[in-house]
Amino acid sequence: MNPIRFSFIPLLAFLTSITQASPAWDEATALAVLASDTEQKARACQILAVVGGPEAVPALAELLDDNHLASYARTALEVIEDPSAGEALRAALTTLEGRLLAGVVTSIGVRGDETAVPALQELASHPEREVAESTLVALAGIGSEEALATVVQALNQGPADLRVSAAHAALAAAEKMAKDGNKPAAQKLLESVQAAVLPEHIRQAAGAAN
Amino acid sequence: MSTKTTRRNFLKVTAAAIGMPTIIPASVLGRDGAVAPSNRIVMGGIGIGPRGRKVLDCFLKQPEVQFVAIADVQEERREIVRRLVNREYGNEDCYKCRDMFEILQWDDIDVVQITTGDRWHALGTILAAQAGKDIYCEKPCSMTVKESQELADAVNRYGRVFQAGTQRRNVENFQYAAHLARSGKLGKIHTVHAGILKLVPDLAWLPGQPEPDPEICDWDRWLGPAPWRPYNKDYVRGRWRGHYDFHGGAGLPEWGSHTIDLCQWAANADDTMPIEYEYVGDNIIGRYQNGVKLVMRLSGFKGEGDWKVPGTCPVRFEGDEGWVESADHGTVVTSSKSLDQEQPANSLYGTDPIKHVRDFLDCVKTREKPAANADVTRRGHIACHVAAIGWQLGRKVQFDPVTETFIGDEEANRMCSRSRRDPWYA
Repeated sequence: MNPIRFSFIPLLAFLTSITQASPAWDEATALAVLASDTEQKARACQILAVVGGPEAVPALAELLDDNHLASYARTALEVIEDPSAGEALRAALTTLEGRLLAGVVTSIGVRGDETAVPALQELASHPEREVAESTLVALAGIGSEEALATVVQALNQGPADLRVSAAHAALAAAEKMAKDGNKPAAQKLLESVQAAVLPEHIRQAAGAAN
Repeated sequence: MSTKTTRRNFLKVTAAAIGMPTIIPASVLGRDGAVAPSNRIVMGGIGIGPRGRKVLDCFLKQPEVQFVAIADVQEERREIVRRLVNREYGNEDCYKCRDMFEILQWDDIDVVQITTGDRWHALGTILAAQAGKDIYCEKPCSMTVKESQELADAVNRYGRVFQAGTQRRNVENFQYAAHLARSGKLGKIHTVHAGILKLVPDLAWLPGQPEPDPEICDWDRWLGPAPWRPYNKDYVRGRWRGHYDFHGGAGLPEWGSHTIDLCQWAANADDTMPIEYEYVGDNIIGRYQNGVKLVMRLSGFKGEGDWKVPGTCPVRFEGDEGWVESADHGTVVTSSKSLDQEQPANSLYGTDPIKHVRDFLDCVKTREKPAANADVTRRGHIACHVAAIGWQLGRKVQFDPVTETFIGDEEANRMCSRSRRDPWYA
């Protein structure tokens, strides 16, 4: 494999410098290493997002509860095809909360992980709005019949702001279904949006697509 | 650590509670009665720094525009804009805030100008489209291939008018050069050249500094969907360029969004993009399905070297019967005098967006697509990102313009997207 232009050389140079324990080290160098630890981890995640496989998953999963590094880890976990990446994200659903939970939910949606639907359905009415919203987007991204049923339920019965999020998610899902050739299902979803109590421009978007 | 952002905490407060006017005062909309209310275009700004103020200045010159609110994460910047607008209108009515969602939920606002850094362009546009706004967004409009797709899809889904800040499509000398290529006056086009900056995908962080009070500069919101890194004042003062996490496509779209876009236009390729990309010498060579070559020149960006025209953003279009070259200074150089006969007498400087803004506002009224609409922006930007990914991987890459995926290259496909930092999603 060719070297990746932006990544390996500085990372390897850095790792070499700290493992050689050079006598030239001084306090400033040591402090720089301490301060840059997070930076090196971030950089490693960015490299793993391109070349990482199942071996990288455990180390990446450990970063999902890190406020600073979680999104770096998720970038890699979203694109590693091995099922272990999906398992790591699903496992995090039970341990995280707030923004970090919303982030993991989003990544599950990006992966289109149908096995996560039951767990996501439980989060669709989560009291933290950002979690509930990202869950609806993730379910729409997964796009299975049962996932979309939860989105439609939020569209019909959710509080006003969640209805709007559900509508945006449903419109994107309908677009994808139509593109994939499933026009009847797309039409049904669009009709749900048109029938919901929503701002006019959103209902118009559904009407224009239908 | 800064105060936590929740994605839409604006929904938890009412407009009255945050002091935002729910109905725009008559004095704001009146503008001495020069424009009937039904013809006015009410506008808000999201992230307006030095370049954004040049764009805003063009909007403020348009009689039907009424700029009413600025959202910026930096107090200094939002105050500069507030004063600028109030001075223009002779009142104290311009509203300022740090949360762009206040602007987006304001029903009276028709149009938003998004001139943040690159990291916010696509997501800001998507959120604005979802809120039913028309959008003028500075370039580059996306950080990745995927964001280019998401932006165009959202604009089209909600039927919004979108103009990317690739204003050279509305600058006379570039229009003339493209006209020569598109009209057949150069014969059959075989090669188009785009000047671009050297790529600088720097992953290193600047040294961390104490975060300022979020009311002065909200670092968490400044980062937005970009991955976290410690605050440094240089970033927020404009030196975020060159940093991989903030400057999309390793910096290639910085000027490629202009010059590659112009090449796409000249080559009648607005509905497609090159299918292969290879780094050769000091160029990235792209090739379209029909054999036309796109030469992305990484040197001579200011017109030095092999370019025949002075100025930044040079482009050259070659056909089997002639060629034309032009750049920001307005000069058009051609292969023969017969091609010079219809040259524009005058041309805006290449960075001037005045006609581009006018084109956008006209389309807001007619609901037509402006010159740099979301569809041409999607393909021009994707071409930039794909070229940059090939360069980063150090190998020739092939790309399918229909599925918009790399062919047989998993690593390249994995570089088409980046996770948005929680809690941001599209």
